[in-house]
Formats: sequence, structure tokens, C-alpha cells
Amino acid sequence: MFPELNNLLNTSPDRAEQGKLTLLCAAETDGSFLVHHFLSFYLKANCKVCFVALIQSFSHYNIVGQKLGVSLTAARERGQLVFLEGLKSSVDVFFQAQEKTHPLHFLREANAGNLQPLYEFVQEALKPVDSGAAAWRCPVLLVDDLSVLLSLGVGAVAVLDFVHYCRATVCSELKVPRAAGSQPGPQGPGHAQAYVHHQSHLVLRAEGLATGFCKDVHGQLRILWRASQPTAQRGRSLTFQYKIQDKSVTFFAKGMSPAIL
Amino acid sequence: MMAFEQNPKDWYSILGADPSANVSDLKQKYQRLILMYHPDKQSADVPAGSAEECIRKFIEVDQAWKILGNEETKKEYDLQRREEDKYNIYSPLLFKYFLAEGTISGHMLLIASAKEDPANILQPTDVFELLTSSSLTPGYAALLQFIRNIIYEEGFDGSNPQKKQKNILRLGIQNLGSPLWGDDICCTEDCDNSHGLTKFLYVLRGLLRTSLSVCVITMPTHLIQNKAVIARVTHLADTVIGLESFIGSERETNPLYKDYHGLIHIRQIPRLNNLICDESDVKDLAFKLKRKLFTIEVRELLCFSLQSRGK
Repeated sequence: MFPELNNLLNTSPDRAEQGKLTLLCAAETDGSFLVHHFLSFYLKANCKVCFVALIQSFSHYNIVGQKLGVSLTAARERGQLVFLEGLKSSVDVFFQAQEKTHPLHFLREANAGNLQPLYEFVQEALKPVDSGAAAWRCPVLLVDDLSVLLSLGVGAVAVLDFVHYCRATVCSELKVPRAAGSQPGPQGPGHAQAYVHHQSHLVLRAEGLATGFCKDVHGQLRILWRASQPTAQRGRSLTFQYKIQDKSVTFFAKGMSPAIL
Repeated sequence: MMAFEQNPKDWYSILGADPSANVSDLKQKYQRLILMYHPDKQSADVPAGSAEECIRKFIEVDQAWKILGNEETKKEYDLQRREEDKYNIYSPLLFKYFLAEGTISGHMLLIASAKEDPANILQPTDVFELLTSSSLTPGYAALLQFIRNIIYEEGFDGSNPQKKQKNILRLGIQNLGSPLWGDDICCTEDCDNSHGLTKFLYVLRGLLRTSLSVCVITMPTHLIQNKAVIARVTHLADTVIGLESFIGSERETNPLYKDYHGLIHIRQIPRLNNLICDESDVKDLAFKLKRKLFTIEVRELLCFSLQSRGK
């Protein structure tokens, strides 16, 4: 969790908002630091998190998480985190016959189009439990990242259906939540991204610098508040430049990098 | 500058020799020709045009001998000949370096190629031959199954005890995505199997993450029609390096690049277990190949030389 980003978004773990869809996208740069931010943010906010990690392994997220002050292993043990490790499961699914209900069953299909098992997995993971042992604040779904589904041959329509169902379940049925999907910009067919963009309440877009590589400025982050804000704030957008450090990210106004001034 | 001429002369054919001829053979041929075309040996009554022709030939033969008569320059010329013959030379070279490094370190090698017999590339421990036999393009599915079996049987994933000393598996896959693998992404822009390659890479990534192995893949990206596929492939890989050879491009004749054979573009560096990646400050890298030595250098920037001239 990067406190500076919380300040920019005007939020904190105590005030994690519910019923929101946040879209993280990246163009010409790596936006994975945003995923790590939101993962640690919601774990600290005491939310029940379902993390569909398709692009990296569990140990990667765990080690980065430790740098940001959360332990995924501990969270998983106390039932706060449900982690789907796509890379590992894909090998199992691909080489050994699994039941049809496996979340990644679509890998075995020639014309993969059905994400229903994956959706059912998410639904099951985020179902509210009645036992009062551990009451988590609100369910959160994180997907890293949606473009992998497109790469795996799932049609854009099926991916959008999946997003829509998740949004409906997590947002209204369970009266809570928020999903963050990271979808690197140029990779999916344009219309898929445009649609998710249209559905989301908050869009964070990491971009590489137009002027090329710079040692002290790693890129710029555009924050766009879309809906469900006071009317004055709706459609407001801000752009900051950032520098990623070992354990945190510093943000500054455009052209105001300490290295330049 | 000789090497960068538009139509380089073939010194061997000027001497009327075969490129495989040895030096003493070449010397004989040179001596015979140089006497034949020597201006002092020409009879006085030949027409003027033919005398000029003789002088031109005389100079050419002399030049040819200057290059081929010297062991050093002959080798260099031979190398250039080979490079210019084959377009796709540098990526197989890097590929071989990767495998050679593995041989020296005692790693197990697995080579897959649909183009040439992997045994020609190196004497490998394991060879994958393209078989035809799921939901994936047949070539890819068979290769994945093969890799997985090797990883499992040799104990690289920790399931079976490793027979020898604990070590890693080096995978080399050549020309992935070319039509020889049964993939059509090179042929059409909008094809049914455009995700076959990305799916293969994803499962391979999964295999690599759960075992002690590394993989280098060379891919003819200039052949792939649909550019969105390349972006996805980049996204699924950890490290991506682009090679831009000067052969056939206008840079070949540009004096700025005369010391190099091509440029290296580092497109992606892995961010593993870390927020940041180990990015170097310099992006301007060029490579050159001298005999068997492949060197990568930081290219001196143009602005430096302009500045010094200003002073």
C-alpha cells in the first residue's frame, strides 16, 4: 500500500468504499505496482479478498506483499484471502483431466468461450459466511489481468460477461464491493477495454513517458473519477508522474520531479 | 568502407577460384592473372578500349589478392560473405550462445525446432522432433507434452529425485510462431488460431514457474501479421529483446553505424519478486560480430560528437 496514492485517491483502509469497480490499465509501461497497492490495501482494510492471479506466481505476490507490509500466506491461512494461481492451475488443467467445474476448465476447450466455472469459483469464494468467527468487512475481487483471458483464447464477449456478472454479484447481491482488473491497454481488442472502462467508477491509467525513458520518472498516472461521485467531482481527471522505489512509489505533479528541480 | 558497398565484389570469382580454395591455390591463380593483365605485357596494337579494360582487370585482381592473400582480411571477408548470404543470422547465434553456456555449466539441454534438425544446432541431450497428434495447434500441444514429461521424469519440478547433481534445465525453442509449427499467425491477419501461440506461452510459463528451468525462444516477429499478437506475446514473457540487423537496411551504409552490425532493443525486463526492475540507464545498445566474438556495446551518442566539435 502506498500512502501517497491513498492521499491522491482520497481514501484510506478505514474508509474502503463499497460497490465500486476500479479499472487499472497500463500503456507502454508496467502497471503492476497498482495491483500490489490494491492487494495490500484491501488486506489491510480487513476485507475478504478473492485474487485471481493469472500472470504471476503466488510467491511473487507474497514477496512483494511482504515489502508492503502484508503477508499473503498468513491472510490465506486465516481465510481472508482466496488465491487462484493461474499459472500453476493451467499446468494441472492442461496435462491432467480435471472435473468440468475447475475454474480454468476453458483451457481444455478448443473454442474456449465459457467462463462460468471461473465465475462460480469467485462467487463461492466471496459468499458471506454466517459463522461469526471472522467477519470481514466486504468482499473484494481482484483480477490480474484480464488480457490474459483474451490471450488464452476466450472471446471478448465472454470476458465482458464475466466482468458484468462479477460486478453484479459483488456489487449488488452481496451489497458490497469492488473489483479491480488490470488490463494493459494495447493488448485486448479495443472495444473490450472501452466497455470495461465504461462500467468502472474509477480508472487508473499508468502510461510510459511520451518523451521516452527517464531514470527518475518512471511514468505518469492518470486518475479518472467516473460515476457515483458528487456531481462536481464526476469526470474529474488528474495526472501525476511517479517514481517506483523499492518499497513505495512517490508521486509528484507533472514536470516537478525532485531530480529535475 | 569496402564492406558496405551496394554490390560488393566477389573477390573469389575475380580470381576465378572457389571460396573453398586454399591460399596456395589462390596465389597460383593470382600470379597467372596478374601476368596476363599486366600493362607491360600488352601488345601495342590492341584497341584503346580493350587496353583500359585490361588495366581495370589488373587493378581488380590486385585488390582481390590484397584481401584474399592475407589470412586476417580473408577471414573477415569470408565472415561477411556468410552474413550477407543469410538474413536470419544473429538470433540463431544468440540462441547457440545460450545453449553453449548451458553445456559449459553442465545443464541439461532441450532443443525444439521445426525448421532444422536440432542435432545440427548442437549435440543436445534431448531432441524434440515435430510430431502431429487437443485444443491447441498440434505442434504446440505435442511440444508442451514433451517438455512436461522431461521436466517430470528428470525431476526438475521436485516430484522425482534428480538423478545427477541438482541442476537446471535449459530449453531452447527456435522460430516459434512460424508456419512450420502449423500456426497460421504469420500468414493471415485475422485467423482462427491467433491465440494458439499465446496459449502455448502461458502454459509454458506455468511449467517454468513450477520447475527449475529457463527457456529462450526465438520468434520471427517481422513475419507475424497481426501486431496485437506481438503485444500479448511480450506481456506473457519475462524478458524481451529485439534484434535489429543492419543487413538490407539503409543504416548499413550510414557512417554513424559503420562499426556495428545491428542494434539491440531491450523491450522488457522482468520484475520478479520486486516492485522495480533492474533497468539500466543506457538504452542505446548496438552489437557487432567479429569472427566468433559477439559483442554488445553502448553506442556513442551523436550529440557527444557534436558537442566536442562545437568546442
